[in-house]
Amino acid sequence: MRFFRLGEERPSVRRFPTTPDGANTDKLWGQIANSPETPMHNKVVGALILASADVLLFIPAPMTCLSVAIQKGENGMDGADTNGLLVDDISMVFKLPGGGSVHALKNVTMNLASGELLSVLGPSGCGKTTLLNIIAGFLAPTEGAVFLNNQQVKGPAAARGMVFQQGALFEWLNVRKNISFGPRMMGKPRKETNEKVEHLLNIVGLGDFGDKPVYQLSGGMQQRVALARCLANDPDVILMDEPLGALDALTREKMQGLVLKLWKETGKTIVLITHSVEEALFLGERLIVMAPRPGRIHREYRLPFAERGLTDSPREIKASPDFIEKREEILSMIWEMEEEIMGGTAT
Amino acid sequence: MTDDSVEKTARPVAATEKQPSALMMWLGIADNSFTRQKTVKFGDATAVNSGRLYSIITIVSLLILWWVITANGWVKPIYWPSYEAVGARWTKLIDQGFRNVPLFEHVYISVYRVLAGVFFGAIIGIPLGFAMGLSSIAKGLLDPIVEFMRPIPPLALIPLFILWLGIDETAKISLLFLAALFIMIIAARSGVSGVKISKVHAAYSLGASKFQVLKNVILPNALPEIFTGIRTAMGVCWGTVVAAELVAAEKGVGSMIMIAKNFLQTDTVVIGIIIIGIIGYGIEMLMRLLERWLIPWRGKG
Repeated sequence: MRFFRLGEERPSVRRFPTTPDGANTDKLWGQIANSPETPMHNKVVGALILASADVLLFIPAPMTCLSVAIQKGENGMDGADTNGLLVDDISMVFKLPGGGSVHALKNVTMNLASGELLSVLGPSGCGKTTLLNIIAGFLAPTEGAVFLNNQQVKGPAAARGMVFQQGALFEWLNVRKNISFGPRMMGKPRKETNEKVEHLLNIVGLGDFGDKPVYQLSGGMQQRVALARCLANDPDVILMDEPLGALDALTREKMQGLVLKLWKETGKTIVLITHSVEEALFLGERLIVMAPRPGRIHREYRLPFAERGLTDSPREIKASPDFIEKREEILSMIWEMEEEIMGGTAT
Repeated sequence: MTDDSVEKTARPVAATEKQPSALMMWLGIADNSFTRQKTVKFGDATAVNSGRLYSIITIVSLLILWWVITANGWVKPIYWPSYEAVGARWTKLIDQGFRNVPLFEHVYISVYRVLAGVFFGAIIGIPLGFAMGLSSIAKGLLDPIVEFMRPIPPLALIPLFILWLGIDETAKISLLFLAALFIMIIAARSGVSGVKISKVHAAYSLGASKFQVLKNVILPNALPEIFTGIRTAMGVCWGTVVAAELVAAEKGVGSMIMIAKNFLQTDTVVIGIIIIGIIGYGIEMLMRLLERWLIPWRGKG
């Protein structure tokens, strides 16, 4: 059990404390207390509440509701396995209309602590996208179940945000309206939403493009909007289905940096599907390599590169010997899988 | 210095040539600087200019032809009127109207019928099309009717409508409504089924409810198709209203032509035809303008 004080410097390197709706509590209080518009009695009451909160927070965290707000930004640091994403022994069989069936996934199990970044890699047809669609709640698995924070996934929900490859933006809305879509649908207060959208526009580097229609943006910029739109909803898990797949190599590299930065700043759990070995290695704190027919987990890795990517330059990391070694290892693994399939069909 | 100039003049492309004047560009007979440097032009649709000059030539020659054949008496006035006859008839129509009804009212009543028909067709047709795209019950129920009615030209229904509803306003607007209805149902249905599943998925995982997905994703996504439907319905209804008025009507451009024919007033017939053409063209242009203004994202998803 951990104890925190409000305003205390957290030991986390890549997360700051957040309330459930994503605002930084300490910053928020600072703004209220320093504003000349805040009446004096409100400042006094606020200070009293904070003082009592300081006292309350010495009580074990889960016992007070205030601490829940703080724990939300903090969990995952400890690898608390009650909060996180559990894919529990999933199998997926598609029955074909003409008889016969396709075994898309077989006994896939994985456990993702909150705040982890997992990349999923595999040759085409290994069920990566099916897996993501099941986690998102767009498909129901034939066997097994998915749990997020101990709740079974039964359909799409705002807790599991999704970033698609491309063309999933709403082209009839401008950038700002696209990003605020989630909060607007959920009926969040307008002022709060607007502030959040401005903040996100700056984070993804689209500060001057808020009023542009999305179809006027380049592919890379559109994916920035897609990331911001997902983050605006403050989901527990972000599912990314080849989010950078349609971008050119240079833009792709820049966007990888942005994904790392967002991961660091928000502390979100991320599942990233990709068919680029380099991207999977560079971004994944954990990496799952899947094998096809039936789709299953082939190997799991824990990688240092994402953590290093927060400080070192991406080129440096991608050129380092251990990165290259891992890349070649995984490439030849996938190569073997492909050859097995080809050999299987040839005989 | 001299080397530079030699190199420049030696280039085969016309990059150093003067830009064509604005007039030449407007007339559509000069290539822009980009097109001029293309070597493959035959088969490249973007290299075909508007050729507005030739359009002007066409119009002017037709008018001259008209003048020549009527002024010289090569064609009897009963088959094709002279400018003078048309001009005189036009002043008379403006002053006295046609059969005690002002010319404006003839035009207005036709346009009104079209707008009413398309309006009711859209009001009923769009929800039905949406229902067909979203529910298998609605699709199953309506599909036979829609597919059966689709190839039937509205004109073939005129006799039935006269039998059922007589020759008053209700009959005409009902006919136009029916003509617009099936066009709108089909347009709305294809607009709904054309929505990309990733957009729907995105909306649901952003926390939208079914109704919100319908209102905020499916409806705007279907708008371009719906607009195309309205445009087509306008065109079809304009053609249908004239034909319906030819058969039985007191007022309207179509009836004006038909009655004038009975009195051998060829000049009135020609004026009616010109009015029909101009209004049809105007409706199309107006719809295109509206479309560009209302749905700027069209074709850019």
